[in-house]
Amino acid sequence: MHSFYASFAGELEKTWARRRTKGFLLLTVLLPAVSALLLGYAQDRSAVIAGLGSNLPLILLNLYTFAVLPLFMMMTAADSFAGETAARTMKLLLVRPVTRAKVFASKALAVAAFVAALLAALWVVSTLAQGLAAGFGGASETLDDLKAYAAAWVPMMAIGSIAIFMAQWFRQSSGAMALIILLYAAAKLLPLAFPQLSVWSVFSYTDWHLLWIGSGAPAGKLANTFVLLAAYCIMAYTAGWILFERKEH
Amino acid sequence: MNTLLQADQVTKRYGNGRGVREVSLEISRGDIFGLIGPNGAGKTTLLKMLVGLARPDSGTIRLFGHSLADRFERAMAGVGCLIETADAYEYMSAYDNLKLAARFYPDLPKTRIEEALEQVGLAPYRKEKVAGYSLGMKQRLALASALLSRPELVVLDEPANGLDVEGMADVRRTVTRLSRDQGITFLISSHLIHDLGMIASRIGIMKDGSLIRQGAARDLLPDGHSLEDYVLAELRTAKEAV
Repeated sequence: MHSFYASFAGELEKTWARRRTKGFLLLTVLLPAVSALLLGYAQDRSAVIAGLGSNLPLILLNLYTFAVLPLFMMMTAADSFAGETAARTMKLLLVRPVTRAKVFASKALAVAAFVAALLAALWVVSTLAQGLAAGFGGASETLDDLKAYAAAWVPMMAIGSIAIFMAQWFRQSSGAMALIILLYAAAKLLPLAFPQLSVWSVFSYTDWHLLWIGSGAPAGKLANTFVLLAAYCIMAYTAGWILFERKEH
Repeated sequence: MNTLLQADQVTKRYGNGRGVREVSLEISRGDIFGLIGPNGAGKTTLLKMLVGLARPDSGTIRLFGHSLADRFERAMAGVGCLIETADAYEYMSAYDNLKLAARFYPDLPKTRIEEALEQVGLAPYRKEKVAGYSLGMKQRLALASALLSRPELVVLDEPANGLDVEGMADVRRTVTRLSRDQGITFLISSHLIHDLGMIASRIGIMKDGSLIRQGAARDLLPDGHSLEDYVLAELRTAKEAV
């Protein structure tokens, strides 16, 4: 397992070293902070709060799961696979004593870890921001938010796996990024014309976390959706891995 | 174990008809094996297959007695390489680049990164981002990366690319010194016949995907003949035979 940890630690370090990652983290910290400042300095706080909604952590989570996190994953997956192929740095990894399966797993896990870190940072900062600006809510509200944030990670993983799978088809990160974003936009828009698509499209479950708030949805429905998302994850991961194993550098 | 690398009937065909055809090769401990051939002869393809970057259509490759296809981690544990181009993570420093590589070798002392940078003359620039390096500096970094793990077998594809005369002489000296003092085995592909002729103990000549000749340098070279004369004569003979 040492080779896997070495590869995973390397992926974390490389992802962190990219300016883009720091940019996303900065946005994650600044967005709730700016919202809190707006709340704090606005003369008519209630109006601003009403404008923003009463639950800042949840509103920001909706925004993040709809656009920011998918964009982050698409860019990171494209950089990590197609980008490294284009820069010819992939071979630096592949000639080390580590199997391709472990390299692939470590890259995928690094994307997952950064998404979890961004979600955690967003939850902490937005909860603090909401608390400082409008007062801290009760324990049940905080727990609800926490559940929603934890649940939000699951559909993100399914979308991330698909982004990783798609990145295998490209040798340039820009091409991979453009197509993945295009696919995401199409997947978000198509159900407007064909509502039946939304049942099967993994991209329609980015707001799955809402089902976990309060009394939430029935356990059966949550389980069904979880199985669907897990299935997407497994299929995309396996297909991506097979392509990665076959690729020559 | 005396045989470090054993390739048996390795074949790879690309869509354009080029590739490598039924190459068998053995490299023993202490060899400095020079792989020579014109552009497109299949040298890089062969080296890529020998270190797992490309998969052969048929044939087997064993490193340190382990099958590259089945026991990749064990097979590659004692190998260091520089293949095709000297690339590095440009947004990181030379030190951080080597740190990424060093993680794969748990027994490597922490001082080894500094030592490897010293060895190639990059120690003063270790904290600078690679994006600002010249081609020669990148080549030195790639060499440091190949030697970092103190491998028993080092595979170098055109290691003198981008280096000036002094840099090329440095590479030659480094290879000779490591081979003599530490018993490191080298497989080096280069189009610089003269350069390779000065250090290689064994030579293999590739043409059109085949290894047309291999053997000890002293046995292959008639007295008074340079390696360049010999290679050109062999390539001419192979062409006439076709």
